[in-house]
Amino acid sequence: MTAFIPNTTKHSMRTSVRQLPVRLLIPLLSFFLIAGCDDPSNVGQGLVDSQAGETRILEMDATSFEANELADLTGGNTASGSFYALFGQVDDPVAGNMIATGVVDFVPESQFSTAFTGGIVNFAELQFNIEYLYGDTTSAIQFELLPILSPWESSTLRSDSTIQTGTSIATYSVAASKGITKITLPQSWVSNFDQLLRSSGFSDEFHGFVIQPIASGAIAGIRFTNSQLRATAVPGDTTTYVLSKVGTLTAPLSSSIEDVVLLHDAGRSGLDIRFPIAGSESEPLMIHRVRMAFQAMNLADRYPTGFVRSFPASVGLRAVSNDGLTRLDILEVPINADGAFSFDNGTLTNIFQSANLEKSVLDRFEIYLPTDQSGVGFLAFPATAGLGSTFPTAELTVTPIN
Amino acid sequence: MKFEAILSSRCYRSILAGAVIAFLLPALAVAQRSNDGSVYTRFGLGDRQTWNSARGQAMGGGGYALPSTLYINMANPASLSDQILTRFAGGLTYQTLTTSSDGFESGRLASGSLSGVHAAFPIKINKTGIGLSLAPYTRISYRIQDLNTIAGEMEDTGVIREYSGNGGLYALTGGIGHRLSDNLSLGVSAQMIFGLLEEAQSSRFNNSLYTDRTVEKSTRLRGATASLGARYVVPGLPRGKGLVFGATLTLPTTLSGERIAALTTSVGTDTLGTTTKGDASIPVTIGAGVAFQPSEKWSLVADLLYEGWSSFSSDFDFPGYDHTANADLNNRVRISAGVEFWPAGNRPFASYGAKIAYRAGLYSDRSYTSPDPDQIIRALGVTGGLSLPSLLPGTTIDLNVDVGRRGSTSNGLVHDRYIRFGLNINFGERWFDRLPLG
Repeated sequence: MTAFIPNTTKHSMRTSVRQLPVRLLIPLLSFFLIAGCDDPSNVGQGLVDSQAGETRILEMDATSFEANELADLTGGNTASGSFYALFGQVDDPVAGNMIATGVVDFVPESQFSTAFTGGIVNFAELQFNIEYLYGDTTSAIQFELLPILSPWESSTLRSDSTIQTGTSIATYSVAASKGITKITLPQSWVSNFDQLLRSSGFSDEFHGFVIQPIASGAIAGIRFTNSQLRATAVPGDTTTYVLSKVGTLTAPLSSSIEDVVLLHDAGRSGLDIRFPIAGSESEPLMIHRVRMAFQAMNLADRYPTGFVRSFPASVGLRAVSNDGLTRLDILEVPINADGAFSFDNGTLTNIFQSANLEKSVLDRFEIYLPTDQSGVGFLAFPATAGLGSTFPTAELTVTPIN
Repeated sequence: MKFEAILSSRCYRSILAGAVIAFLLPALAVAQRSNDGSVYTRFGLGDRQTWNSARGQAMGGGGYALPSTLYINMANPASLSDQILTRFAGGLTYQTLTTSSDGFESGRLASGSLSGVHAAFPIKINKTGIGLSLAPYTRISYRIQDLNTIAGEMEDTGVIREYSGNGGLYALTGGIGHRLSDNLSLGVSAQMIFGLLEEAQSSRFNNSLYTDRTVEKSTRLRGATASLGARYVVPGLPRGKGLVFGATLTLPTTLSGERIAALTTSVGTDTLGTTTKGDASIPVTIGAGVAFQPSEKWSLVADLLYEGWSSFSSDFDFPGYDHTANADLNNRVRISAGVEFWPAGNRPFASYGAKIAYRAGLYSDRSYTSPDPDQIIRALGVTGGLSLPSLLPGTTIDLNVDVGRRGSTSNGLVHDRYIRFGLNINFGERWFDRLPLG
């Protein structure tokens, strides 16, 4: 058997052979190891695509689309938030009876003069700069003026907040038109507030007025600029108290049109919209782009001539957690003249992606009207429960994950 | 000291052997990360790899019955009984690949990879030997890229889709072979199979409105198995002739492991779900071969390998294998044959050219995976090689070539034509010898 096993070892050890190019070994090894061609081709794409799938557009219908229960933030001050205090009442052909109660507060514009603090206030008036109107601008707005009895925060004031008020100060009627409207406060109120009006503690002890509508065909918006409380002391001087905080309280609306969902400013916070994107509802996807397009209904033919219907100028989209505590603003976009608007940005895409991977605490989107719009306008959308085709659709650019 | 003297010194040879082995070991990490291979490596656990010895590789890739004192033959642990010298061997493969498919332009790819690293030493010369081996068991190396447009998109937005994979399983083998008699050798080896299978899928856009995404999936597997081997030399043949039969059985085993997946964008990486734990089975492997030496100059081998992948099961999905469906993998069958011509035979003073061994072989390999369950993927190839004796006694440089093709362009499949060049280094010297007194 030894013959079969080539017993060359001892011979090779004794045989002189040509010198091995040992010094070439390492370069050769290196070449074998690192040599490569960095030019991938598409050969085999068909074999892979059959298991993975191509990048494509996926139309995804929303599974729910409804007004949420959270009241809108309606408070504002000179730095942020709403910039109108709305008051009045409108019987809207679509939205029904809209009632807005205004809330206003004032602070002294400057330090009181000694002439003012040394006199007695015998006259006071409110000047409201009305810049916003909704409804019948030929009508008058009747309202009651009520004193506010306790402090309130504009930053947390929502449309369903409760404001503690005293007995009615007076009843007024003003024209539903833009411009400065002056309201003289009754002498009894002036006498009662004489000392407070001249006190250095006015800002802390005076809490403002509620403007409660009684009857009207319009809703007006009072803007900070040029809106003030003026008090005159005798003998002495006139002092101005500027508008420092505003707010609006509203009653919930119910649409007079069936199968319509309303996005109402100064009402509910927004419209909740859900998509079946979570991993349990959808295949795993790489999501590259998400576009959400909406078309508000054109309701012009439902309104009489002369009815001023202020249309929201912009709309926002945020993502909200299941408990409502996490609210991530995504994007605010302008609304086209025909009521169309769409959302399309990287944050939206990433939220969809996280939801698809079941990595997100955010479980729905909310369409809202930005707080600084400060109106009572609304958008109406068709929404038939159970018929997905009338719900909004998101257009996703996706690649199925293999 | 003259350079030749340095070369011939035991110290130098040991250092050189160590240096080359040390060079090859880190190659494990580098070479397996290449993406420049065939799309067929994507499927299953990857393309099955075998590197039993440089000699066997040049003779068709088998060698279950092939005896040799000059090489470490890990095809059959019984062959470890042949060891005379302490021996180190390692090899690298450089592959050029031309891949084509109906409807696509041909692609040309090239890459280098590790063939394997072997070490063996005799406990009792030509009687009992021990061997160690680290070699790829499977290999994944592919990258497919195309530029397309988004299906259904009105805008003409380009998307570059890329699928890639790398990694694979390694087999770390330790075995012992013992010659029971002049005719019968037995061997046993333990094999640890481990590795990382990685695949990635990405879509990239030439438009900033779209977000590029990449999904990477990594599956780490590990497990152990054992092999038994036997080799029988038919007695009674005339001097200079030999007939040997060999067979091995590798037991089925189960690899355990875990899989993680991650989604990557330009702003970071997010894991997909939780780490998934699971198993993957490795089937029984049976190898059998015959070697015939009609004279001292000629050796002929023929081998058959069977792997029962139809029984494969796994908790994980792999490309070409859906664990929820009853889609079986195919049994792998590899048939090979080869011839070696060694002009010098046992003549010690033959010329250098006569001491070169010339080898050739051919093989047919039916793959255990297929992208289409109705199609069998088969590779056919011819091999060849030269074994160059070196200045260092007991050491050879083996240059191999493997020219083959795999698959076809019909039925949406891919046709690969490849040329693999193998550079193998085979050191051998006497270690642990007692110096003669006086």
